Amino acid sequence: MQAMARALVVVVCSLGSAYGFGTRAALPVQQRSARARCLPQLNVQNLRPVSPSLPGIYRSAAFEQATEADAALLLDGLRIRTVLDLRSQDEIDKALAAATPVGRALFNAYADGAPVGPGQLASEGTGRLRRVHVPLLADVDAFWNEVATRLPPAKKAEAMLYRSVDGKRYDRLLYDELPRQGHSLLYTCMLRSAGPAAWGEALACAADRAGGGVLVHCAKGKDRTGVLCALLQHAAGDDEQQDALTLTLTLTLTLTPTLTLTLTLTLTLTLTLTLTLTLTLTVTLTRSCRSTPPRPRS
Amino acid sequence: MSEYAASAAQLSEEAPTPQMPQMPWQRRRSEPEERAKDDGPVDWSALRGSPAKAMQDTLAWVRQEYGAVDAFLEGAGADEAWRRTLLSRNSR
Repeated sequence: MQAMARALVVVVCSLGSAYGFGTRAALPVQQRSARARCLPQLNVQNLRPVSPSLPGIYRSAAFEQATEADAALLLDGLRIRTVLDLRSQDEIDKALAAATPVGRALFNAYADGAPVGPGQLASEGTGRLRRVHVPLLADVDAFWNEVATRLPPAKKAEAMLYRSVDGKRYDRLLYDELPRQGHSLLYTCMLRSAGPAAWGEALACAADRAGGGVLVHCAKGKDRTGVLCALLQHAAGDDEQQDALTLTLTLTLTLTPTLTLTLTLTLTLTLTLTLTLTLTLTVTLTRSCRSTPPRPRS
Repeated sequence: MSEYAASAAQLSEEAPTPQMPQMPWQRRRSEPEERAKDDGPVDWSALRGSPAKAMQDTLAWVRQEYGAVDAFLEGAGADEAWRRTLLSRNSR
């Protein structure tokens, strides 16, 4: 059965190469647009390079819904040899239960360490495919206990009251607090509750591209993947503020073509005016210098 | 930050209505999933999207708690040797 699945992916990859996702396909690694930055839109969502500073590291959502073209892109196009899965086991089980045949075959190929080489599933390079599982939210209770420590004082007192007498209201208090404080509470509690060992393992795995490309993913490729990638980008020296500014500008330009045209015309006009003024000033100064008669010596 | 913020644009859909449970943090492992449903569904919609400020705030929290993001990384074992590996461009 497994052999059949692998054979399917081999066929799929050859089809994918025919679609232009071959090993020498030029990938738009440095494209800045939020849309354009994403690799060709397939079934695997949110798939893109982490940063131009970190070649060979990619991020995405889960790939259990992968198609033939997805498999070809991951194995041949991007040469992903290591998959770092940040999901919890129950998420993985659910995703696998609803996986496409190709998605399941891909998962098994990485999990079983399928060999890499000519005639194999992944034909470029040597060694084996690898799957590293670091469930950053494995201890859900530790996560919610961390949320409890971040409650505002009044709610903290309320929580202490409920905790021993009304577990349901206590849970609900915590549940409601997470969306109230938003993403940053989610991320900071994640950073604390996962513990340094898990973060260390994830960071080490993401950095090691000796065997080929690394794909970091969770369920949506947004939160757990987002935090890990932000840490990687920090270590790589990517500028937080500059990066945010670039995104804002890029999104503006992407979303409003009229504004793009206006900005381009304004910029061109400004540059032309500056150039004209500079030339005029230079010519005037040159003439002025030439026309000034030498002073007679006393 | 833009890499993080781009996620919202890449995801074709995020659950438009509150659903239980969806992500690991939307339940307590030790509690049955039905328990939280009793008071009506929790509105998780505030956690959709990927606003750049959320990650900026997260890194600001790390700086406040650990002194620096590098200190957090070092605490997790991501030392200078790790950084050299990370920044090496010899990916095959």
